[in-house]
Amino acid sequence: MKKSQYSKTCTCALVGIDGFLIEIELCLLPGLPSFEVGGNCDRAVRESRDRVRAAINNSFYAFPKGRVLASYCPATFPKSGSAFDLPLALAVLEASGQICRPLGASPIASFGELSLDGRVHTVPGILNRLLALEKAGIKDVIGPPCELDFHKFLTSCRYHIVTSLSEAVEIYSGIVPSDDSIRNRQIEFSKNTEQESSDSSFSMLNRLTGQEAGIRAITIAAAGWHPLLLMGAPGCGKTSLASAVAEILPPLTEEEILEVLLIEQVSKITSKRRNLAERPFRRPHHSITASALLGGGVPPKLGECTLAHCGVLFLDELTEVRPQALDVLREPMELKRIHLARSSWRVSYPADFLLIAACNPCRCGERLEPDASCRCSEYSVERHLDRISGPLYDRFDLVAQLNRVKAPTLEASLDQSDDTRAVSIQTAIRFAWERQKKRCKDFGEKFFFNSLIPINQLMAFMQMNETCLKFISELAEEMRFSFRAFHSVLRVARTIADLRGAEAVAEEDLALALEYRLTLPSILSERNNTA
Amino acid sequence: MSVSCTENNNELLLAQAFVLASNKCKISLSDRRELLRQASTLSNLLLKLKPEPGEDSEISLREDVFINFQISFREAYKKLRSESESLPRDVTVTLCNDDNFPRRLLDIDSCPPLLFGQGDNWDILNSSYVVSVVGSRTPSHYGMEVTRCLVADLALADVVVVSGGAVGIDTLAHRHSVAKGGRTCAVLGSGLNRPYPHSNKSLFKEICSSGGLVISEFLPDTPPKKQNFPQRNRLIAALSDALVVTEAGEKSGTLITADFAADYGRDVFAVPGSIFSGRSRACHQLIQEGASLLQSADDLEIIRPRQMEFPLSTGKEGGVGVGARRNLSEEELLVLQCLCIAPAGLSDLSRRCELPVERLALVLAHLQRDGFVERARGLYTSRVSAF
Repeated sequence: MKKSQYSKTCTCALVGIDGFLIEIELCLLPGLPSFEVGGNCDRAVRESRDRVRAAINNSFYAFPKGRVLASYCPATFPKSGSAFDLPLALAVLEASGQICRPLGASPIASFGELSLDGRVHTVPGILNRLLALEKAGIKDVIGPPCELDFHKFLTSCRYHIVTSLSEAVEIYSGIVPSDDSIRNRQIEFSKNTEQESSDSSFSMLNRLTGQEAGIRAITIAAAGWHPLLLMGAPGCGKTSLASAVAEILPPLTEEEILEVLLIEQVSKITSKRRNLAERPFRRPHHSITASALLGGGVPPKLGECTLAHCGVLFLDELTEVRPQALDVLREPMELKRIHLARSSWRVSYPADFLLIAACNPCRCGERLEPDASCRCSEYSVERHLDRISGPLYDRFDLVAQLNRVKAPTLEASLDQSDDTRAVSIQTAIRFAWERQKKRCKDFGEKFFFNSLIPINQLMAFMQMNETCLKFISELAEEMRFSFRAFHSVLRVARTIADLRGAEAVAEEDLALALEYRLTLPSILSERNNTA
Repeated sequence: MSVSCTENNNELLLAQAFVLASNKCKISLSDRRELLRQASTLSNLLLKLKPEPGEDSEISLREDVFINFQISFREAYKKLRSESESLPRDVTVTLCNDDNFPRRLLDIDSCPPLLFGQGDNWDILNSSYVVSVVGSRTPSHYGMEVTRCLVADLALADVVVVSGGAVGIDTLAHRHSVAKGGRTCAVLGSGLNRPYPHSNKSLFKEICSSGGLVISEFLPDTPPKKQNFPQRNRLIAALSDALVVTEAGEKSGTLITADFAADYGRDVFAVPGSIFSGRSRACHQLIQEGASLLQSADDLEIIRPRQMEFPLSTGKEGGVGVGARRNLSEEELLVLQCLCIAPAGLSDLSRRCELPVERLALVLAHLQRDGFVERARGLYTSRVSAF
């Protein structure tokens, strides 16, 4: 009779972007040869049985004869993906007595996908899993190579990179290399992301000289995290402006770097960011569907909203995006999070993005140009802009009207490219952010951007004097502001004052904020007081 | 003598039969007038056997043509009587020898022998001063304001405003005249039963109920045909003492009206606009060709309105905003002057006025609050008509 036919090992499952500690128990039972897994596993996990059997055989170990039973617990979490191949193989080997953990060794966790010949492949969410395991008190983790050099995010946990099942067995059985060699191996596999410095940064802004109105708009949007809609004729620089936003935004903070990394790790997309502190910039094609924008599927995948977390979500040709897809944006714009429920999955993704959208004002696009060459009928303009629903249009704090830059201005701009411009804008934005942070702290609020000031706090945040208050209420009456429009003018004015470095909002801030209330009637109107 | 249709359908049937028959026999306008003058009423004409070759007769009608005419006149009359269901309502008719026929029309060679009208206020066309206001069908904001102010002043001075009832300036002229309690006359290029444009149907009703008149020289069921409109334009020119073109771009149809007015010896006035916008090109062309430049209703000389609104300090009615008629600062004047040349966006305007954007935004906000400036097609537009 054999000594032990039972083994237990740790691994980590992903739900959304969060990792959870999972224990795999394995037991060899007498009976006809079979291999069963249980514990809320999906098809991909059950497929791992054949890979594990092949990998064990091809690594010159023997797959046990008889009945093999594996159980994943807790069974409440849904489990998906191929990351459980490696721990399952190790559990099989230990239960069949081919390897064993040294006596008194601390628990070790592992994850990774096995190929049929016994090599270990990478899986999504390595960093997410490591952080979860570290939190659960695991000291050693075996896993596949990772492109990211994440050692600075780990404090007590040692990550042993392995490329094959045999290497994993070595570490599992207690042949632990020195810390230096672990580190060297991490560096060996990581792509040196930090080395590529930002040589080509601030290139976009130089191309935009002359488009002062647009630069002002993106500066205000970035400074107060206000959703921005750029409206103008084709070729007036809407897309370049949106790309320039990524350049003028201050880099990510340490906390945000981790948040963005966790999302990137799970999403399996290769990051185009030049360094870790660069903010994400997502630019989905306008044929995007609602679930691609928001996230969806079983298990729920990340949507563009989440991928743009802490960065910019740029929707070009907003009027061409299908209305159903656009309207799902309303919720994440308010909550800054997305809660998805799909069969047994309940996940919550962060989605604090800066929405920048661009569209033409009418079908021919010339509506707002001063030469009045637009011949679209009012009806067709109305139909064109109807694709953006009223509630969504209302949520754009800034609607910036862009006009084409005239040729002489363009020529002049080619001569004087100014690298310091973007830096100075970025500095101004950073100072505006500092002011907002400080003010919110004084008020004891958790939020920080002006776009999030709740209505009941708004007046206190504005710190306007009497004349200013009278001015804005008269304006609101004359221009027939809606409730929401009135508040977004105030919020934008607050940001403009912050950019100026002033504590109290003045008339001129309100006046400039007014420029960005481009209402639908004022795009249409050619006839007015006829009645 | 005009007879209301409800009282006497016969007169209207006769009038229609007369037009149908004389069209069929290709009788010239002057002969038609002469026929009516001699017969004095249409029923006489129906009974009479042949024209009297009197000494004062200028008629050039051959006898066989006349007999032909009379036969078709009777036939048409009979036919119309049998189809009494197609009778137009509220329509009146006036003959060129009637007392209330617009006397100004008698000056011209192509005076119609009779006119159909909706409403019974024929006398307004014989009042002491009648002005035609015409212009572009797609006016700019500036053109709309000019029309509004001019017509308001004319209404105050109790001057009758004649226009074509088309969309654009015509509609504005009628509408503002009605709004100010003035009397106005619309001259249609289609029959009265088929008013064109259809969207103005309610406006025509308003005109009639406010003491105005809608007239047409065409049979009530005539559809709006392209060739009818220049013919209609000659009536607009002839009905008035002066013709004002408030805004018209290149190749505008109003040039035809102005040509007729000049031919008939009417005064032609044109309101200038910006040379940059190109929306007033026809007005400028008229001025170059000798039309008088109109800056205010005063320029029409005969009018002495009680209260002039044109040129005015603000486009606002009755001062809705705070201090709508307040004094403007120097910067505000500068901005308004720039905007009067052409509407502009913020950046453009900042370059034009040489003001920093922040300052300009403040000036614009004040101007918007007080109703001097508004945003149309996204561009800042002056609501003030003139300086």
